[in-house]
Amino acid sequence: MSPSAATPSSSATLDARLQAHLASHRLTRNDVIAQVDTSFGQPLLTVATGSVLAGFGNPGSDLDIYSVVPGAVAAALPLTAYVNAALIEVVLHGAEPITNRHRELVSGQWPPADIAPGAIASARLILDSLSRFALGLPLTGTQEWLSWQRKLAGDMPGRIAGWHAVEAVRKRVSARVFAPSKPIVAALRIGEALCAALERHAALHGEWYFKPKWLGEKLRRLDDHSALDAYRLAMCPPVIPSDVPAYLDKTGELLDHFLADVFCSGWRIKVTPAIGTQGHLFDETYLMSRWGLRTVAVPADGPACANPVWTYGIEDQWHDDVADLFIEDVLWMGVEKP
Amino acid sequence: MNTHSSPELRRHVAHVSHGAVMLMIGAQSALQDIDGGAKAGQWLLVLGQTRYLITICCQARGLEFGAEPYVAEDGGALDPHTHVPPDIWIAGHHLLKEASEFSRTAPDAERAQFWLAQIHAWVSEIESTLRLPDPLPELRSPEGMFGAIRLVRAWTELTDRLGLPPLLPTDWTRPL
Repeated sequence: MSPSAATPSSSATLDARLQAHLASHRLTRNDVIAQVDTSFGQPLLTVATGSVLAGFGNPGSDLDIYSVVPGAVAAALPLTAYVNAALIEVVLHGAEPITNRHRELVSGQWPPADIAPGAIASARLILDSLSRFALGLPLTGTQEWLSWQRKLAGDMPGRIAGWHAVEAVRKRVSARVFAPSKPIVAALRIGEALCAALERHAALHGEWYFKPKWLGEKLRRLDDHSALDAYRLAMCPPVIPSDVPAYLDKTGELLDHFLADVFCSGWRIKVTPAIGTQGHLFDETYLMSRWGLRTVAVPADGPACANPVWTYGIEDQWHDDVADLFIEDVLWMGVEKP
Repeated sequence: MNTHSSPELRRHVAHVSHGAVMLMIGAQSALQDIDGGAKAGQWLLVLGQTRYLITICCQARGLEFGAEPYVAEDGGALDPHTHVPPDIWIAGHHLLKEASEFSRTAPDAERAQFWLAQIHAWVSEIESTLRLPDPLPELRSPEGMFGAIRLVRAWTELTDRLGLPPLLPTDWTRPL
């Protein structure tokens, strides 16, 4: 299914949301624009964005301002300002990196051909930033950058839906691996898989604001009662392990429903040592430690010691040693499509 | 601050420093969303953020007993449950279940206030296990940001020396 009704709110709607927020804090647009630091050059594009502009803001919400500046920005740390008790967070982006990220996003694929630890957080951050520009209301900008911002709105929904499809599959595989020995974690994980599937469902129906906390409100805005019931189920895993098998079954059926049109052909699960791990041979055991905080011992003649990177099909059973290391969180899992 | 003994230095430092950062970055903003959402009648936001709050707080509480300090990238195997005292886990999930009920039928003001007080108390109990001399600064407040930076700076020398993961999210210290 490709995104439908994926047009962001009209600029009149965005304008009205911004004006209402500013009025409630006795602020003007110029007060907001003045918060953008010009140390990295005069901004090429500044948009107001975030929950307020997405229509989910409440009196405690901050106002996000995203700017593209010509210079290289030192860090992505939000610069926080308090004006008339309103919280304004400004995030600056260098023009060249953000252009490159956008180009890579449009020309690349997800899942990527090869994945490694770090790639998921990095890709999530890029989707977050670009989608905030895409859903924002321009406050100032050059013609070139205003046109870039308009183009983004067309590029993002499909990529966001695709991202959530991969996350749903990844979390579902994790739940399956956890289920035999840590059922409560399996229940948590399959709930996360269902959330990802519902995020995809919302994105395909025009609600692609990339912020997990608003998923329920997005489904409410879509007036989708069955998806809302699924959301509540995903949020509340059982507390007692004996309730988990029924929960996994019910959640699994919903995943089958919401992911029915996701084609995983050629997708592979890659499992590899997580960031911070070290391996040690110790007589007949192989020890994997993470940050020196804990150690997991597996047989030295098993697969863990020989080649600590494994790839599996989505439905494949993992080797026991690999599963044991994974459920101790010393292995990391990604999805790739070679 | 009273004398307190821990069986292992790294575990103690990871618990206090990473636990505090998880509470300042994750739990505080979730609590603000919960308070703001309850006031605005956004009970589906409250539900989503209660789930997140309970997960991150349990991750922080579990740090003392074997949980993983590195949550910057979810590699699919995060486990916020196994190392958490059961009473904390169960109390958190009772609050979550109530949030789910509120998302169907909004509570009256008195019940909402009672529930909010309980969830704040639940988080405070977890913060108290860090045994810090002062309450954690509010990250999203005019003065709190600097207080938080002071704490993180003070801890960083030792966390680095012990080879523990960085305290601040790496996406903050890297340009886009």
